[in-house]
Amino acid sequence: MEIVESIRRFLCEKLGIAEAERVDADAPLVRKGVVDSVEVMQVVTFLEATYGISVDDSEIVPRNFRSLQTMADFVNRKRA
Amino acid sequence: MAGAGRGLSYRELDRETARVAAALAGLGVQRGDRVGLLLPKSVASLVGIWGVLRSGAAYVPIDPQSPPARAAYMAQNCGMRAVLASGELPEAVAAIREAVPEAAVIQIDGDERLEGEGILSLEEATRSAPGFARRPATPRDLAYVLYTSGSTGTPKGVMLSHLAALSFAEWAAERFAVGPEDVLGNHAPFHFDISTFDVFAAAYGGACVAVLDDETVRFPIACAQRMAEERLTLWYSVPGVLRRMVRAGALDPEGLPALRTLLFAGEAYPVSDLRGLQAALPGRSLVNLYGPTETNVCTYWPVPDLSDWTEPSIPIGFDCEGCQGVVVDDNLRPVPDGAEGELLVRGGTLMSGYWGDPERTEASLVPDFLYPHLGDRLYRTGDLVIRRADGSYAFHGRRDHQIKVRGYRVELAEVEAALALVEGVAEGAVVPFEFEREGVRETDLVAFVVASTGAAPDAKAERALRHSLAARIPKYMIPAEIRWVRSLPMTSTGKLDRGALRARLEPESR
Repeated sequence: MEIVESIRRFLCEKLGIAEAERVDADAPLVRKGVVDSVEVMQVVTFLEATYGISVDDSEIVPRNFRSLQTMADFVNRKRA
Repeated sequence: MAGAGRGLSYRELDRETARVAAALAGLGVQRGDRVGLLLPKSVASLVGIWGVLRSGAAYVPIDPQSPPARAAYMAQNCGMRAVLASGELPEAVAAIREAVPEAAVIQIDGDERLEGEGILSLEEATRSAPGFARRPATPRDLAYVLYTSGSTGTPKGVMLSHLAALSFAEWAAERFAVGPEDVLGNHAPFHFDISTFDVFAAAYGGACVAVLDDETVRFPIACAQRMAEERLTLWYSVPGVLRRMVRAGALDPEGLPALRTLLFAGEAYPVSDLRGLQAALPGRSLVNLYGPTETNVCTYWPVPDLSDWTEPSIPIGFDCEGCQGVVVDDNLRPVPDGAEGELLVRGGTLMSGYWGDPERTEASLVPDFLYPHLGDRLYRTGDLVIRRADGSYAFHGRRDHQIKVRGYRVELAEVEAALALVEGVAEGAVVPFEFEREGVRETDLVAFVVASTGAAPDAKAERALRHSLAARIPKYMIPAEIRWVRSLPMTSTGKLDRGALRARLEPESR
């Protein structure tokens, strides 16, 4: 999935998170400690800039940001 | 206690922990043995802690997010006799079993069954357990071992006795009036001593503990929602968690009517942000706490109304009742009030020493010169402070190369030791750098790395380097920036010139 890979690349290359390279699209990133709170916010900024969506504070919850796949699904829902 | 839909009364807790204790005893765990706790945040992890203590052993919490190799190191270092594990962490369990093959492993949590010969479920472990006689602890018995970043390059185990835990619990429960009507939120991982408030002070006061899982606490809105749902009355965390909630507008005083006291420790809470917390939750008690793992909390400072506060930071506060601090110079001689010096602490909450490291223990726990006839010890915190006119201490920095990154304790030497093991790296040095994020000064790490001859220092090499570090050290110790250099600057005496490296860094905004 394009968005999944785009977020993955962002995590690896821009945030320097090595494990993001090989992690499953469904793996719970925050729970596993791959991504921390600050990095979640950086992903939000990246998604807003890259996909032209606007994310409300109330949407920054596990349901939308649990894994690469849920983040991609969230973006798609926002764009629809 | 409650967490993710599962609640246990104290009576049920009594029954469940008795099972764990019997299982451990049945496997041959003796008084003073070390039992690893490899569990993500859950009610089961609390059952595990009390179960281990009941068996007379000491629990050794392992960060579930720790690289497996680090978990294995800790298991081996303290001679782990058994491990209570979760089905969610097979790699860490495998690494521990390889390092300490004789350690018994009991899976007490998780839907996925751990694979491996000899790994027992709690059912299986209790089936063969004989009747279990009580093993009341004596004050100096080991209760838990917390591993912290080590200045020699490997983590060191801080040994804490039942007396130390109880001294802290008693102080905290009394100072903050913890009682049966209270609900404490536990989110701090158990290898972080903030958790001892949630566990021991709660039990001391007979309060309820609501467990917040590792994911929830990292999302400010979700975290605040759980706090409201569980009707928490007391909260204890690093400032960062609170700051993010305030920033997200997540703390609503009407949604949190029962939340009366908020404690924070681990890093400085910027005054401007603290004012924001006061404004968000008016009328609640806010308290700054300070204390290294080796002493648990040893000073506290109730935050007054900050509207007229003009100083750039807040004090770490007054000696806790039951603790006594003294500020000394390099020769361990007390300095006058107002002068900077190292804080030394005596009291019941002090560690017994570092596991298997008599040298470092001797260096840190010095003979108490205040009351030499008692044969007591003073712990050298390594923190520089000034005692203010009102008797409270103000924090003035460190004596050494230990720093805090987002509230986590990091010894530069440990990061450098991990760097040295990376293939393609000839040598590396790590320095802290400070930057501003959202108006707050934060610290992170920069590594200056010299590539081995023939190795190209490119993006691919950096990725490989980061992978290698991630396999050895926790995420928060991984440098934010890697700079490839041709050589590292040395002083005239042939030592690494950290000053020169720090001078190369400029203040940045992210």
